[in-house]
Amino acid sequence: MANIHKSDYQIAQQQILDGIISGEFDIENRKDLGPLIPIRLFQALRMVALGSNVEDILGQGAPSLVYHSGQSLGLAMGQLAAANIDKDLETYVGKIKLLCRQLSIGLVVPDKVDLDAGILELRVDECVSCAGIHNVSAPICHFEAGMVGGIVKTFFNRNVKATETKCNALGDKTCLIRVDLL
Amino acid sequence: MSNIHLINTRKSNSGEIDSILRNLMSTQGVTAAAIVDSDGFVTHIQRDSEINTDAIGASVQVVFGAAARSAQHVGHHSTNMVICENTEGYILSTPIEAGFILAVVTQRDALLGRVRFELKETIPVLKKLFNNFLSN
Amino acid sequence: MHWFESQLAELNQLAEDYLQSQQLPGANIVNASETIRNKRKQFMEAVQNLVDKVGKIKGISACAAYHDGLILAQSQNMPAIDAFGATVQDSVRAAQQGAAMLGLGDIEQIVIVGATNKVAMLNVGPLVLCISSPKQINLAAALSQAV
Repeated sequence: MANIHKSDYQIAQQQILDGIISGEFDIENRKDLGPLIPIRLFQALRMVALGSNVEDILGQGAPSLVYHSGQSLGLAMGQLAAANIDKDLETYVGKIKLLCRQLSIGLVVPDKVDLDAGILELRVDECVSCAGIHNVSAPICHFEAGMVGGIVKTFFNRNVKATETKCNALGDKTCLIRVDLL
Repeated sequence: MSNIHLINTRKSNSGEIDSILRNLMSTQGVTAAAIVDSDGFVTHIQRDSEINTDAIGASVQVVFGAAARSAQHVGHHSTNMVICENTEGYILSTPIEAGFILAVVTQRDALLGRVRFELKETIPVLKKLFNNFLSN
Repeated sequence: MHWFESQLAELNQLAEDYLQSQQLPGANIVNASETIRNKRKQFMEAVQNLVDKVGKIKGISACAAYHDGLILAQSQNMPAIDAFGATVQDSVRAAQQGAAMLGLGDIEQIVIVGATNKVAMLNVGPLVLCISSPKQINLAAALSQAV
């Protein structure tokens, strides 16, 4: 039997994803504080640990890393949502919307679906990453763009390119992610 | 208001970009040549064998970004090329425009000066192609 | 003009043609791109051909071409290519400084003669052609005959 070595981060990732897939949000060792955290703590992790700190080290490579991280989560969520739905897009989107709401990622709303042109646009209202953030010069939700890309990629089993074209932090009131099927 | 411009280089100059990548592939020892956008997405690729394009695209951006940051820390200003020397070959990456990067993967027997020369001579043309496209 | 001189002249002309192709007006970059690529290919193929031919000449130990001290083309019998590259870069830099002080003009050739072997370095366009042989070999004579 092949001995596949997993790093500690990979072991933790597996446990977190298993927790999400199980739909069980209670968590051990958090008897008093419970499973929820303030959104600002998440944003600190997202915009500082996985944002400005990564940017300090990686410069222009930072958005790629964040996008890729989001895509990994999106692929896992996609696999969860795609189970037992017989490739029905509407059911798939419904499950994704529910999952994003349960995880407080945001309220996902399909804005445009043009499969002939290979373009989908999904709105993420109340986006967890940029809520309450203002005056940036470019969209900052690369994680969500990657996540949506991963979700769409899983369903269509095709390479995709997801781009955030509107961002709440830019004053757009919502985040809009355009996905091109390739 | 979003200042994002969707750059779909697939729809313009794509044939010429592919020709340039094919030309790089004809250099001894080169096994893959790709263009990676600022999100780490591979927009164009020519290759001898299967490559995980998602992973290589993101890695190229991350490695180039880290190298460019290191260069800034020691006052070297902009980075023109990053060369990774590996046991089985080299990975060379060079910036084009607007965060796009040209990356080339080689075997160990590639002549480093030859590949580097090709990249250095190719970049000005790619810059013009991308500038043309971005200004249209 | 003997054989090697004519080969060098041809190579220099191809290098010049390549340089000229890069000056083409950029109105149609797609066409210009192909022209530039083809000119570079012609130049590089000629470099490799010359390196191969010179490497086969009786009395010549090895031949290689370098760009910024990195190997670009080599004959089959090329030992210590990285050491050659380092020597090329060091020698060219030192010679350029000396040439500037002495008003020699652009460097065309550098020859290093050791007790056992010698190395000649010749500038060709953006490259340096490097030829090594035993010390006693008369390079001009060895390179005068077509391979």
